Amino acid sequence: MAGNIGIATGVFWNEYGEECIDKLAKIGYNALDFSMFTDGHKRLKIFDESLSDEERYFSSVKNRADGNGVTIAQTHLSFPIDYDTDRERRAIVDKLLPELDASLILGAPYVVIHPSRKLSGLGNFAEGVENYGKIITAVNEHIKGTNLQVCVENIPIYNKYKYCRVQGACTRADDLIKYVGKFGVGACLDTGHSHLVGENPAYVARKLGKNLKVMHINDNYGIDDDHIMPYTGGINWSQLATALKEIGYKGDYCAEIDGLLSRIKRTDREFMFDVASTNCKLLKKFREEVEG
Amino acid sequence: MKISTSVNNSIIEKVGADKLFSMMNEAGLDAIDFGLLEGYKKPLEIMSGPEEEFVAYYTNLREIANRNGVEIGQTHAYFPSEYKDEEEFNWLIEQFERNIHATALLGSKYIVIHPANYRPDEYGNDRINEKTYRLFKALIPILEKYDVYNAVENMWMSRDGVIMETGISNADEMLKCIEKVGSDRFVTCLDSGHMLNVGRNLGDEARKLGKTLKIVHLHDNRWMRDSHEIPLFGETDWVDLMRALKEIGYEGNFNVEGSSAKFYNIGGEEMLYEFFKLVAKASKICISLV
Repeated sequence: MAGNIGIATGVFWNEYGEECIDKLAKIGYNALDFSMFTDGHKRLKIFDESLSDEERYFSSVKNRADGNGVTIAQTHLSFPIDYDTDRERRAIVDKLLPELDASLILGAPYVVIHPSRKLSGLGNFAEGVENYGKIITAVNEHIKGTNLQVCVENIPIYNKYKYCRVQGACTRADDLIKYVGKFGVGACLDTGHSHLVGENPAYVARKLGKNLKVMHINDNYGIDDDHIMPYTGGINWSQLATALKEIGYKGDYCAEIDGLLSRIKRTDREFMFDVASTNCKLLKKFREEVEG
Repeated sequence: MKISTSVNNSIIEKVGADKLFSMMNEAGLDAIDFGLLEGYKKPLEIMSGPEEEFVAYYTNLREIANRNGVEIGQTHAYFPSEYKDEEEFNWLIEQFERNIHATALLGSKYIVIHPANYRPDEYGNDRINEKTYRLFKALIPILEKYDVYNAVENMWMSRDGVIMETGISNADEMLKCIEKVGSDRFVTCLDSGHMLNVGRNLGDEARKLGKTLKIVHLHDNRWMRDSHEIPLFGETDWVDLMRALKEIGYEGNFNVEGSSAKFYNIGGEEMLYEFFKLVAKASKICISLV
């Protein structure tokens, strides 16, 4: 069965709420990467409401998606998840748990969690793994016995000069492999993030093999984290398609082009759907390269 | 305001002129910025071929464009325009003469011939600009002969990947160039992405150019790269730019110098058409801003 064609909800949700599901389905998407935040990385306001309100909200989202023949292929937990003290760590976990419950209501098979982006407190890589591991362990514990699987994402870290990338808690293919082995999680390959740190996403995909469960498909020019449409930046998509074919990738094809959409939205929010329509065609082209 | 985008000969050879112009018209485009080159440092063979064949080729292209409801609003000459000796200078003049003649045959009044573009730290702006002025002065009789205007474009230069201003990178230098060349055959072409890259305020630069601004290369960029994105895809303040164009009474086309070749290479005619549709829609949005 062909992988689903999806897109992250973040910017759309901020502007249209549930209505964006209808509009995205109409232009060819049959999957969503549901973000627990809107653009600007602000956590959804529903999480400030009661538990029953949350349940009603996400059940409604699920029904709207079902009604459009759209599956929630993956969700994305809010971030950042940086902390210095145990108290701060507990507060972060307390925020993430309702988002996991929401993911369960939405029927998503995978939930993506960012690593810490902190520079201080990451004096060495082991410390980063240790700190991040405490969060992952708590998350894993909460969803134990469900069909939901946590996936860790690769994230570039900048030093103070921004355009200089440095090692973070989970930056490269080898880091992802460490988390997979140590915490039994899956991996989410953010293609643009790999490209930014100088790793060919095809190389990362081969390293991950069967542990690659989901993707954040996006492109950039290797300078900034642009999150633009696949094929329109510097990534070699044919090489990635070959690698995915080799490892027998069976997942979905979800784009995360929030950077581009946010810039468009500043002038004309409806134009986001024209661009999303082109993006949908590009994702289908990529799927054809992988599965065809 | 007519909506236009750039295509060059390499796309025409792949898709065919009739089909390409028809696709552009169907996507909502009114005009074409026609690239008279194969690519960077790649002149077209026809520019050095027999004159009869050359005239027939561009006359025919104009007819095909007319038939498909699109006009050739402006052209883009071969580039780069740098030269190190008399032999290279003379070759450029011959190349540009053919480019200017082709522009006339295509029914357009405007061509963009790049200024000479060297690293300012190595050459110094005065020396760079002298090279440009000499080249442009030599073109005056040719422009007059074919009744064509050369629009001076703002450029940029990079050193180790860092974009910086060079000889002609802002409105002041563009206007100074026209004055130094001393011919009414020279007007200006504002390249919005280049101006953004060098950190200039686009609206202010357009206001300075005033009535000299006859054509544009509109595209979007993020700060660190001249990637020629579709308008609204980058960091440009389109409201202010459009307001400025209105204030100065700009009467030219809304011409997007985008990446038609990139989209064609991604997915052939299907993706090229997607590109045309996005350009047409983004252009209409920008035009409607003021």
